[in-house]
Parts: sequence; C-alpha cells; structure tokens
Amino acid sequence: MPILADLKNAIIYSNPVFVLLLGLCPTLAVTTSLENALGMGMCVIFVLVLSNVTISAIKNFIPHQVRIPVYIVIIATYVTVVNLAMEAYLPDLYDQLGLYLELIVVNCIILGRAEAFASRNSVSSSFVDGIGVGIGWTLAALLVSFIRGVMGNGSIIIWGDIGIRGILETPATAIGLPYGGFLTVGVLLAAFAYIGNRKKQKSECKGVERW
Amino acid sequence: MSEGGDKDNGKRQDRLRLVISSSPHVRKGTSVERIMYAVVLCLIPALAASVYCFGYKVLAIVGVSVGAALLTEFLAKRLRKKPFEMDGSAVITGLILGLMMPPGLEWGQLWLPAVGAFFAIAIVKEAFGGLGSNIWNPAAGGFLFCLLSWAAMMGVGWIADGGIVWEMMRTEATPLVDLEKGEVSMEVVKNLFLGNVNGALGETSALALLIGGLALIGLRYIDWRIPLSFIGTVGVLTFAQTGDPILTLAYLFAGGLFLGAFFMLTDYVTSPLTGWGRVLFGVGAGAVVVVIRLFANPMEGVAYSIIFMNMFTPLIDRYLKTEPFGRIKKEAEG
Repeated sequence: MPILADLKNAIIYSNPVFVLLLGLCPTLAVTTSLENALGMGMCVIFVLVLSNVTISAIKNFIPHQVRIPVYIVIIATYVTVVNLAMEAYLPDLYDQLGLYLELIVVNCIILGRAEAFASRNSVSSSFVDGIGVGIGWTLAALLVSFIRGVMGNGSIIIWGDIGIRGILETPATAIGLPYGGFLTVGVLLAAFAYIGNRKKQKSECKGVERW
Repeated sequence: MSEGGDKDNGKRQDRLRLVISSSPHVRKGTSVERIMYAVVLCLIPALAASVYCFGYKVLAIVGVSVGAALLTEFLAKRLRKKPFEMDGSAVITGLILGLMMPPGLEWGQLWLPAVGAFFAIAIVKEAFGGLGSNIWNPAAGGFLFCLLSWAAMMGVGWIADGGIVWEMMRTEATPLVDLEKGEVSMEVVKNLFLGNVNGALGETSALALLIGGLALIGLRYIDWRIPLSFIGTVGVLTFAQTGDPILTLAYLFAGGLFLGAFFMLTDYVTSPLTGWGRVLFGVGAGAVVVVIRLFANPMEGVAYSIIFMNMFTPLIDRYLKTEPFGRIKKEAEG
C-alpha cells in the first residue's frame, strides 16, 4: 500500500514538530489543553490539505519569482474560511485559540510543505502529504498537551466534564505555564532524537537504510 | 614531553611515554574531584548551622537531595552510555539544592528535594552534555523548578520544629517579608548574620556561609571577584535605594545571597573566564537581585539572578576576550 506508507512517512519521519521542527510556535501556545490542541490540529489539517492540493494543481502556472506571495494568498484564503466558520459555529474554541488561528497563515508548516512538497509533486501525493503532516502535527500537539495536562494540572479534561481528575495530588504548575511548554517540547525532542539515533545505529549495523 | 615524575602514575613509569600536548605544561595535583570535594567540605559549616537551627530533619532533606542527585546522574550516564564517575559535582548540586529547601517540609514532602535534584541533574546538566556543558547552575535550575511548580510548599511551612529557631520564631513571615516593611534593628541584623532566623535551610547563617566561602577563596578554588562584585553591588544599590545602613546590612545577610555568591555564581562552568568578565557578571547578578527584591513581586531574587547571568556568560566571554600575548593588531585597512 504505497499511500499508507506515504502517510506513515509523513506522520512519523517528517513529523513537523519532532523531526522538521516546524510550527513550534502554535505547538507551544495552544497545548494548554487537549481540546485546544485538537481544534487547532483540525484547522491545520484543513488548511494544509486544501492549500497543498491547490498549489499542486496550479504549480505550472505560478511564476517562480512571485511564488511565495501566491502561496500566502492561497493559504490566507483558506485560513479566512476556517476563521469565519469557527467564529460562527464554535465561538468558545475560537476565543481560546484567538490569535493563533489567524497566524496559521504564516505557519511555517503550511508554507514549508507548499514550497518543499506541493510545488514539486502531483495533486494526489500532495493531498496525502497534507493529511499526513497535518495528522503528525495534531498528534504531536496532543502528546504535548497530554503531558502538560497530567504534569501541570494533574488532570486530563476534555469539553468541560469528561476526563480524569486528580492524577497528581500536587501537580508541577510550572509545566502548565508557558516555559513548561518549552521544557516539554525540548524533552520530547531529545527523547525522539535519542530513539531515532538508536534505530539508525541498529539499522547501520545490519546494513539496512531505514530513514 | 614525557610524563615521568607524577607519583600517581607509578604503573606508567616503567615505559616511556611521549605525550604531545598543548600548553600549559605545568602540572598540579588539583583535579576536578579535589575541587568539588573541597567545596563540599566548605559547605559543612552552613549545613552544621542549619542542623543546629532547625534540627536533624535537615539531614534527611539534604540526604534525599544528594541521594536523588547521585541516582539521577548514575541513570543519566547509563542512558548516555558514558562512565559514571564520583567526581563530586552531583554531590554539590544535591547539597546546595538541599540547603535551599524550606525547613518546614513534612516527612511526606521529602519528594520535593528529590524532584528538584532530578530536574537539576537530568534536565539542566546531563541533557546538555554533563559536567562542563550545563547552561545554568544545576542547583539554581532545580530550585527554580520547585519554586515555580510548588510555590505554596516552598513558601509556607517555614517554621520548623526542633531547633533553636523554633523557640524564637513568633512571626510566620521570612526575614525578607519583614524587610519589605522596612522595620529592622541591629538585633535583627545580628540574628541574620549568626543564623537565628527563619528561612531556607542553608540561608540561615550568613556567618557559616562566609566561613566556607572565604576558605574556598583562600584555597584559590574560587575567584574573589565574583562574590565581591555581587555582594558589593547588592549593598551599594540597596543603600542607594533605601538610604538606611542597617536595613542595607539586613538585606545583605538575609536570604540566599551568600550561598549564591560563594557557591553558585562561582560555578566554573557557568561563569565567565576573564577577570573583568567576572566583575561584570557579579555586578549584573547583583543588580538583578536588587531589582527583584525591591521592585518585583517575588521576595527573593538570588536564584533568578544566577540563571539570568549564567545565560549571559557566553556573551561576556566573547566580548571580553583577552588578546593573546605578543599578538600584533592588524592595521586598519585603507
């Protein structure tokens, strides 16, 4: 299944947060709760897939010199759609995400995938890449906000009442605060790099290239 | 050059060894271990004063902190596949961190110094490459993590039972809280200096810290410039702001100022290399302490100032580099 393999590659081996180190700003900012991370992830997937597909479809008509402004206009269009739709139908989440929703326009994941992938590949593989990278970001943000929720608040709560409370009696409030976001992402990056290096060494021993 | 006369190298003496190394070629018996354990010895007066003031629970708190630091170091080295050495640096981190803990910790709260020590060693030190590569002073980092995460636990429960302080304390606030009100007498200053006050374990007695610090300076293991410029800056700025010499003295002897000045700011890894760089480092840290103590919300700023200036150390080193001896400056072109 080449599509599934592409998807897996996009989610794991070009994970925007832990491998490409893109889109760290929203990762740090919106991971204060699971639902914020999930909502933001949905928006990122939506914008990423549509902008990838659009850019890939019209890539032969975009003059090389002005490609970045063209990408921005396309991305901004979809962000505006998301923005207005969310303000109308999910006002609570809209208030929570606030500025970061509009900042998806300049989110380096989306521009980065447009430049590095969509402008060089077919529409179908750009679509898969958009879904994969978007899911990769969402999973990473969910992981970060899960850790921050457990360690910083001692509870995991989604939509107000569903969840587990009192996991930790005296949670480390620092983890829930902004610098805790930096700490969590940093430690996770180190952990992923450690696992990645070990896998690399193992596969080098066997003479098999995995990455 | 041959490595002959070293007493420790008896085994190697029988074969000729040619070692090519860069200067300096002068050898001395000083090693990392010796300096580290000298620092540990110089912290003993402060530890003793703390036990005298707060009772034997101090030993349990410090013991947990040191033990957790050593265990974390051992595990981190295993994970990094590096040999674990008892070079004493983890012992110092644990000891200083333990001395920054509040004396009122319950027996059930002894995990607090352990978590702090874990953070100090695992995140601040080993994650950046171990001894010599840490970005901050590990103890200051661990302490701030505890303070920011469990502010309530680190702040209240200052009154310990058992030691002599317990009998004397009637106020619930720490000395710095009283100082903010501006009511001090020479009696308070004397108590602050000798240690008959409430506060974190190691901060009680400025005298005990001073003994250890002066011993380290006497042994030339730490540079006098850093503590002098640090404490001097705090003194001058506090006096300029308050205009009260007794209050200024009280501010100097209160809190973790001496602990930070002698044992944390002088950390080799995170302090500048040049003499003037160290002066600048001490002055900057002192200014941060005064700004935080007198104007900002937190009561004490020593740990913040240490971390703040630690991060400036590479910059200071870059801009205050010494010229190599004998180097001719390039003529300006044109």
